[in-house]
Amino acid sequence: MNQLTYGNINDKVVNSMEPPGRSWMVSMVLILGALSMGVFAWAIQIRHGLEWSGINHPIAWGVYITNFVFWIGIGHAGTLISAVLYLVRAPFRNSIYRASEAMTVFAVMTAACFPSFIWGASGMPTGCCRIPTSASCG
Amino acid sequence: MIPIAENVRKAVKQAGKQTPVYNDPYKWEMIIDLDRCTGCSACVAACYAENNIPLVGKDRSNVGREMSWLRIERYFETNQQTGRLETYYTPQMCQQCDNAGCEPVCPVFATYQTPDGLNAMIYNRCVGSRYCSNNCVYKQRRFNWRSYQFPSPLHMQLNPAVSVRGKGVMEKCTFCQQRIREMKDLAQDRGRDVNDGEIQTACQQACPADAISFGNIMDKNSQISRIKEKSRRQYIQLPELNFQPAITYLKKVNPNNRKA
Repeated sequence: MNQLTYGNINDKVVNSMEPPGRSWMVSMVLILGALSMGVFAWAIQIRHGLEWSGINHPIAWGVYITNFVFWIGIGHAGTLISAVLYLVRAPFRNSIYRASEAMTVFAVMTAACFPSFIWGASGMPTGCCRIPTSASCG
Repeated sequence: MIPIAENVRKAVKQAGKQTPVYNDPYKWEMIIDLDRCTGCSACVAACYAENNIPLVGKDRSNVGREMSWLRIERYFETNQQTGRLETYYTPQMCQQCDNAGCEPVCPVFATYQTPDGLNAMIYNRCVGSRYCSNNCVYKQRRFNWRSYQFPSPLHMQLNPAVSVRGKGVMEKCTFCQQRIREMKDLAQDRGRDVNDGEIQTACQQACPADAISFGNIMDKNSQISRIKEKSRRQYIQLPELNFQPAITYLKKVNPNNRKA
């Protein structure tokens, strides 16, 4: 960053509209590979039942609740970073809290996936939609 | 006795005053006499036959996915006086707690307390979160990890009074709800209450040693009321947790421990 001019910044911003470079493609392939592994594992679980996740009675949640709590923790971390920077009125906080709050939002969305994976009826289309009625709750 | 347990016991005594009061004519309870139990497992077989419990096969049973609503726990202990290894049996099924841990945690209210003191389970409403199983201290709930099949001759012996559960549904002992319902309906048609001994659960019926008795605790003259009134051997499991189970056990009397 020895010569930070308006021209440099302009180049960097406009550069995002160009076709992505090799490093971007490699990292995207890695990310999508990991995602497709997860989707594949989920498909196996829906096809063959929850047995295939290895969880059993009486430890009925196993790695799913561990992952859930892990991602909730990541979300908390993002909120904490943002909150601390706000409380100390750090002048440089804009770029950091944007990143950390984005991390929070996506971590919470990831965490929210896991309860739906452990639902016993998740293999069925109506699985998560069986809602109790007030008439039968007494 | 450790002091913490003493405190817990005191707290339970306090909380015991908040026992739900049953104004209905029925409150079903069971008494299992461990002195008579021989561990023959006839009750387990009867429960399988009565309640359409799937047989999961040898492989799955070995990894702990059996569906038995009733199991026989074995305890091994060396007798200090005789030096011999002794085996104790305890039939374990859903304790039908009055203050159940499984009920408040269900996200869809699929399990609830019926007016006659049973933990009912609504299979159609269950979404299989398995929260109830996590919260049951007696670990009596069984989960359908898959849609189990009843191969050809077996499907002919399914009990039509009991639904066959599908994949992703929690199930457990119901105290043979279908038999209770049948006799309650009959009694209602005849304009009376259910008499003592009219309802027999499948395990009770199959027990060759007559170790299991079942009845209405609200009826002061019923068999189980009389046993609970006079027996000095009675205990409930994990009383300090205040789940108030409906199954009372009668302690085994070991003749080898008799003082000479």
